[in-house]
This record gives sequence, structure tokens and C-alpha cells, in this order.
Amino acid sequence: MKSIQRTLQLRLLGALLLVLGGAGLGLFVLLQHLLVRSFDQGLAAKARVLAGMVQVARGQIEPEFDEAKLPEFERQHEPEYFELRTSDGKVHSRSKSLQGATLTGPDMDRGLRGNKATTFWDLRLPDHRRGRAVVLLFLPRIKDNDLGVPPPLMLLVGRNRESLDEAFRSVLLALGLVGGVLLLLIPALISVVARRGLRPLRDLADRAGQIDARTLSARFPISDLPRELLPICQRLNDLLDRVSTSMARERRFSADAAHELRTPLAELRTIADVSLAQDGLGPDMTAALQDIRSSAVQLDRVVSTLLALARCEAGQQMVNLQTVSLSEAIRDVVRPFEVAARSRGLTVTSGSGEAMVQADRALLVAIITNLFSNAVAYTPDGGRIAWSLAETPDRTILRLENTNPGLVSADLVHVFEPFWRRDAARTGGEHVGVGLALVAAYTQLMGAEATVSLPNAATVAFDLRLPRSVPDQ
Amino acid sequence: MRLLLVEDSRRLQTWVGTGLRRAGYAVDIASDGIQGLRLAQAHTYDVVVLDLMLPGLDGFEILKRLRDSGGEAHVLILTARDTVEDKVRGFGLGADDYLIKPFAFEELLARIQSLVRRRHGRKNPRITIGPLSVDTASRRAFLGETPLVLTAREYALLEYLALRRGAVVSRIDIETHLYEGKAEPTSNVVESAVAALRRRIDVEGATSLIETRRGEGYILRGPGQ
Repeated sequence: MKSIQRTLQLRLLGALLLVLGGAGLGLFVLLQHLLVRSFDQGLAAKARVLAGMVQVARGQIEPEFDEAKLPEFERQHEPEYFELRTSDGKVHSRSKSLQGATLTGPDMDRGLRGNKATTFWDLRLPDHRRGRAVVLLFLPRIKDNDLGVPPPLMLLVGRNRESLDEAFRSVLLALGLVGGVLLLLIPALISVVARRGLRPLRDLADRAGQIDARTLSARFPISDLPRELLPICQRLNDLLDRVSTSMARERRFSADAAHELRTPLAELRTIADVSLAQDGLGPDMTAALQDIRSSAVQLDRVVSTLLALARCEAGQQMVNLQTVSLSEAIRDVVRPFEVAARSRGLTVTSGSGEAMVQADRALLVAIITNLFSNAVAYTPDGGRIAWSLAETPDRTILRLENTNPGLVSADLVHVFEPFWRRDAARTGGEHVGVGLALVAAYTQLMGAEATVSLPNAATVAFDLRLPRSVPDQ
Repeated sequence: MRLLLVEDSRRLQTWVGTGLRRAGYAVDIASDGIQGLRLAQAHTYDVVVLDLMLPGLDGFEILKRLRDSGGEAHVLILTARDTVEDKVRGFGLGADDYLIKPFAFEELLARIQSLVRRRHGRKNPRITIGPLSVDTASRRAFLGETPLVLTAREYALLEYLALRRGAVVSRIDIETHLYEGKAEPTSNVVESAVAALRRRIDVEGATSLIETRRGEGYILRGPGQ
């Protein structure tokens, strides 16, 4: 999954490393340049000092190198070097330390072509140390007001450059240390900053995650919100307003409908109940009141089922899936129906086995109740009812079979439709055919499945397929 | 026992009222929310039977205001609203029971009776005072094993005294709890009712189970208690 925080962190890290790397490199190059220039200035100054000691008298070059003032060219250990050459390249004189070797090299020749007064180059010194040298083009002093143009001369000075390399290494080490510390600090810093910066987004996600059908009254706080999130929250709040308004309307409607239908039913039933409790009623009156009461009770069942169906369709039926014992639910439901079945001469065959399923217990009980009530009501006198459990790898199947009251295969598509009945006159009006519609609605809500089939012409079979509960590991 | 029925359906007022009065309860009736709240706050009822969808003030609001103002009456919500949310809200606001319309009248009676018992801190429906026992579940009284023939009013008076056995019950208390406030201050309706009840429950020649405390009221207790 994409993560804004991770993407942000990676990109920030990449960009920062690039910038820091470039800055480090630039700094190193600049420092190197400055160090070399200062080294070279020292070298050139030494060359000028030496050049100042050279004079020409009557066409003869007469260096007056004061040995005592220039011990660095004499010593055994790490000496410096110089050469004095005429413009045609002939060596006129050289320091003792050179011991016949020369400072010239291809780098010098390349540099001299620019015709500059000083040219610097790197070289390998006669004692094999790394060194740097300068050649100074100069006109020597003329001695004793001698007339004439003095010939241009070249003075070469070479010196050990280890101190320069040492400085380079120090600079590199310092830059490396700073870079290393930054490398360690930057990712942590970026992570903290990105996390902080994205906190409003995370808060928003948390808030949004807490909203469900029951907490629709919650709104996202608009004040103190970053400008980027404001339009999102405003739109979400608008959406929540509309959803909760329409949910409230639906809820009010179904509450109103329930009130308007149930209050007159309660009146009917109470009138019958209270009147029946009175002494001295004749048998006709008693029978009439009992019928009124039965009608009220039956009508209440229909109204309740229809209201439940309406709630399912309006998405107001809460479903709480958990592990439920199907076998236990069946045993609880079947018991009262067995009495009714026996009084009608029906044979009831019970299945066996335990089965745990994923279901909402209340909805499951309502489904099983409706299935059994339906079977007991429609099985012809003397018929048989049988239930059994079966399992597939992911489903548990409750099969309820009863003697076919006369369904043909063309009827099967209508069985789960509200108010559909095979033969309206036959059952005497106890069942109006909404129970199976509720079965269909509830099974759908729970992610289960209910089907009807005719395994043979004499038997109707209802299959309820429920997701098996996964046992805890 | 005195009940308040807050219900806007005229027919339910009539018939639930009739049924409850026949069972021996004194019943006041309010047909809208405002009147219901006023009555509930003005009198001490044993049980308030409360509809939820009412003109004026809905049942939840009545319940909330009643509890906020310290009303301790047991409240049974009697409503067509059957969702879990409504039930949870009702109990959350301090209801003691919840019954969905339509209902069997017997069940309503049994639930009201259970609330009355709880109001007097009892769980056992059977109260025994010496040779006398009162079964508040079946609403019958026995002397030894012999069932007593009592009118609903007589039974209600006996039950009221039995629930407060051993304590003095004032005449005013009896009037307000059993007679819907109809009794005149000077009337002797309570005296004659107590006299009638004594004739039913007392054994010839023995001390009466109902003792009169002059200027205070009546006390029901067994011999030697």
C-alpha cells in the first residue's frame, strides 16, 4: 500500500542528500583551491627572493646566493630545491640538494606555453617525495649601471607538498565526519518532521474511522484545521449532514408506521383481554372476544414482519456477526413447534451433530423460526418434517424437508416473495406469506443463503447455507 | 397501589384503565406529555406506565425530566417502538421496564406487580404475616391454606398493608395510594374499608391482624410481632 509519509520521507531524504552532497563537494573544491593558492604563493615568494639574488654583469650571469641565508637548500633531510636556467633552457646553476637531478618535466613545458610570469606543477622530487614546483620568468638586475638589455632567466623552485596533502586530508576528514553525523541525523529528523506534519491527516483518518451508522451525529471540527484539509472536511460534513438527515427521515417513518399500526392493534387486544377477564360473559360473547384477540395477535405478527422487512430494506437492521451454535439454536426453536406438529399428526425427524456458524443470533433464530413455522403450517395432515445438518469446507447447511403440499417447480421462484401463497384458500389464513420473505432478507444481511428445491415430487426442501465459524487457532 | 397511565390513545386509556382498576389499582390518567409530567411530579406514584410517542412532550423527555427532578416512581415504558436503540435509550434514561404494544394485558399486570414489589424492596412475591399469606403474583390471599374471597379493592388494601408490614401506614397514605384522591378529608372510606377487610381476614375471637394506631394509622402484623 502507498504511504504518503514513507514517500515524503524518501523524497525528502533523496533531495537533502543531493543538496548536502553537492554542498560538501563544492566546499571541498573551494578549500582545495584556496589551500593550493596559498601554498603556491609561498612557493612564488621564495622564487622571487632567489631571483632577487641574481644579477648580470657584462653579459655574464652572476648569482649571489647567500648560502647561509638559504639552509633549506643545503640540508640532508627533506631539503628544498632550485634551478637557474637561461631562456634557452640551459642550466646555469642548481641547489646542492638536487645533486645533478632536474625539476623540469612535461607539466612545466605545458605551463610555460601560456607565457605567464609564474607556472606551477606537481612532480616527483629527487628523493621520491611528492612535491610542487614553480618556474619564475624574470629579468635579472644589471650590475654597475651596465648598459644593455639583460637576458630573461628562469628560476625553478621545488618543495615538498606533504603539508598541503595533509591539509587536504584534514579537510576531507572534517567534511566526512560532518557528513556522517548528518547521515545519521537526517533520516531520524525527517521521520519526526513528516510524522508531525502528517498528524492532522492521521487524526482525520481516525475520526473518519470512528463514524458508523450509530455515530452519524459526529462532525469533523473545522476550526484549527490546516488549509489543505479544510475542503475535505467540509465536504465530508456536508455528506454526513445529508446522510443523517435521510437516515433520520427513514427512521422516523418506520417509527411512525409502527406507532400508527400497533396502537390500534394494542387497543383491539386490550379491549379483548380486559373484557374476557370479566365475569358473567355468555359463551357467544367469549368466543367473539377470543376471535378478536386471535385476529389482533395474527395481525401483529404480520405487521411486525413487514416492519422488520422495511427496516432491512432501509438498511436499519443492525447485524452483529458472532460464533453461534446452529444446532443449539435449532433445538431451542423446534421444541414449541413439535407440540403443534404432533397435534396435527405430523412426524418430525430431528437431525444430529453440532455446528458452529458465523451469524447474528437474533436474526438466525428468526430465520429458523420462520422456516419451521412455515413447514408446520403447510405440511399436509399426517405428513412428515425432517431436518438435518451437513457441512462443506466453508459452509454449514441446514436442510429442512417436509411433505410437499402441492408445490410445482414453477412455484419455487416465488416462494421467497412477500405475500405469495400457492393456494390462498387452503391454509385458513393463519399464514399470510411474509415469513419466508423475511428469511430471504435476513439471510442476505448475514451473508448467508436460503434456497428451496423439490428433491422429488413429494418433498419440499429448504436449504440454509451459513458461513462456518473458523475455530480459534 | 396508585398508578399513572400516560397514554394518548383514548381507547387504551379507557380499557387499560378499566383493567387496572379491576385489578385493584388506583389509576390516574394523563393524555398528553405535559399533563403526564405534571401529574408524575405532583404525586407519589408506585408505577408510571409511560407511552413514548405523545403530544406535547415525548415519553423520553418526560422520563428524563422526572428523573432529573428526583422522581423515584418505577417507570414502565409501554410503546409501539420496538428497536433495540429505543429500549436502550429508555433504560438509559432510568426506565425500569419496557413492554412493546400490542401486549397481553396479563403480562402488563404481571410486570406492574413486579415493579410494585421491587418498589417495596421485595423479590419474593409471597408475603406471610402470621396465619395470613399474600401472593402478590397471583394477587390472592390465603388464611392458612384457605383462599380468601376478597374484592379487588380489599385485596389492594391488604397488599398495600402487607408490603409495609410492621410499619404504620397513615390514612392519607392509603387514600392517595388506593383511592385516586377521590376521598373527602372527612369521609370514612378508609375506616370502612379496613373494617370490611378485618371481617375477611380475622379469626373469630382472636386479636385483629390490623391494629389501629389512633391519630397515626394502621399497622399489619402477626401475633407477637
